[in-house]
Amino acid sequence: MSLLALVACAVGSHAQCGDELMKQALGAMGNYQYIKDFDIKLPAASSKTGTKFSVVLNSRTHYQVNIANGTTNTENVIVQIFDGDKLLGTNFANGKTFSVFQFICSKTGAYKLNVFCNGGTDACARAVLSLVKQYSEAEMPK
Amino acid sequence: MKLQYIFGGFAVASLSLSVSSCISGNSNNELADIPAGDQMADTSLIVSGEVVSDMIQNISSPVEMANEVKGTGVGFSQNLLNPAGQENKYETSFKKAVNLGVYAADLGYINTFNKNLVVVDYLGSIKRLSDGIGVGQFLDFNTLTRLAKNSTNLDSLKQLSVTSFNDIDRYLREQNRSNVSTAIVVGTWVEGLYITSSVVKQTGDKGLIDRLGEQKDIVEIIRIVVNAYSRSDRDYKNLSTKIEELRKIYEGVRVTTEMGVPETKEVDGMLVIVQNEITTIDFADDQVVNNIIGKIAEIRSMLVE
Repeated sequence: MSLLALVACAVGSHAQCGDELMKQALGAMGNYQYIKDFDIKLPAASSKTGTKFSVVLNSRTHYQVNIANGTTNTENVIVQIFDGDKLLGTNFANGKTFSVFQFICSKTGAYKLNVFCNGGTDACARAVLSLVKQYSEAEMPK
Repeated sequence: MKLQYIFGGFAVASLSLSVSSCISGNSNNELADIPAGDQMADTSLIVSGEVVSDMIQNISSPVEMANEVKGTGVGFSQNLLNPAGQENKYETSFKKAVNLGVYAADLGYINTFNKNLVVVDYLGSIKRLSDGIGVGQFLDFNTLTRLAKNSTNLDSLKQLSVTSFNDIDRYLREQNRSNVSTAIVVGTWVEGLYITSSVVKQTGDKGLIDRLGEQKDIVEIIRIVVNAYSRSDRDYKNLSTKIEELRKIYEGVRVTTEMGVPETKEVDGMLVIVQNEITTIDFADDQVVNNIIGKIAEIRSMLVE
């Protein structure tokens, strides 16, 4: 009985946080070019402080981040992008949590993505980073 | 009012400190004690997987490099690549891993130019190298080959190629085999720079020259990680010497960032974050670029030979 419960739990967890989320995020990415994905797992005890990922981003480059939230998340995850200690932006804006945001990078370097969830329960998500456009110096949006 | 400053060594210095504090080893790690042959599996040097992961995750994206090169208008050149079928000469885990990275960059370049007929040969080499370091299960060779042969599925091919390499990287880090994943990342990075610098030699493209210059901090991060592994691995030690030489050349590069205030705006329902900084790359003289190109070619030659 307990083995059955364990199997059921594992299957359920996979459906909530596994490949389906990846497919969902990739589907939402559209025609942009996939660069990397982030497998986000936030246990209840640390979901509010969150988890960090590092990523090297290039100057003159326009990126997109698509986020697919686990079906049992009580709240959507919030993604913040940091350059060192400097917060550049977040997907929480104008009172809502966006499932997609774009970032126009003007300095090559290692950036941090800080991902957390205010729900206070276990949460998971998959975020996909894609390439929208590379600008020449003259083309860079002001 | 914008503040001008030189983007410099604080972040890198703190990384260096982190690595030093996360390395454990003892006198048995002396290079002389390492038997010839496959040294990576035997290494007892431990660099915190988390620290390494933090430093070099996604340090080099073959997709971005290849797109940048294609954007210059220069056509596809197979001569720039490490020829497929070289895998049998790579005997150590380091050589297999680093050349898996080299081929990953080559694959990104080939895919970007939609040369799907060339892809199949490279997929074969990649499959054999990945099997050689125990990560072949992450490459669905049959699906990749089928996608390569079907010209209507090239986007799927590009995506599956990159996701496969990301899965390999993630698996190796989870298995505490960061030394292997580092070798793959370094191979991809070196090959990307080699292709970029070869196109710079052909075109003198200003955007690509700046891309080379922007690698200054990345070189420093690579140097720290490679140096950490060099204490117990002969291949890493050789690489470390070359990376140090490259770092010295990069002393002739100045990266200046004019800081600005980041903005977040909603454009047609899309949330867009704009960094609003201006980066300027200055080379002490023209010879610095040539020296960087020359040293990258030397390192690449050492890795693929």
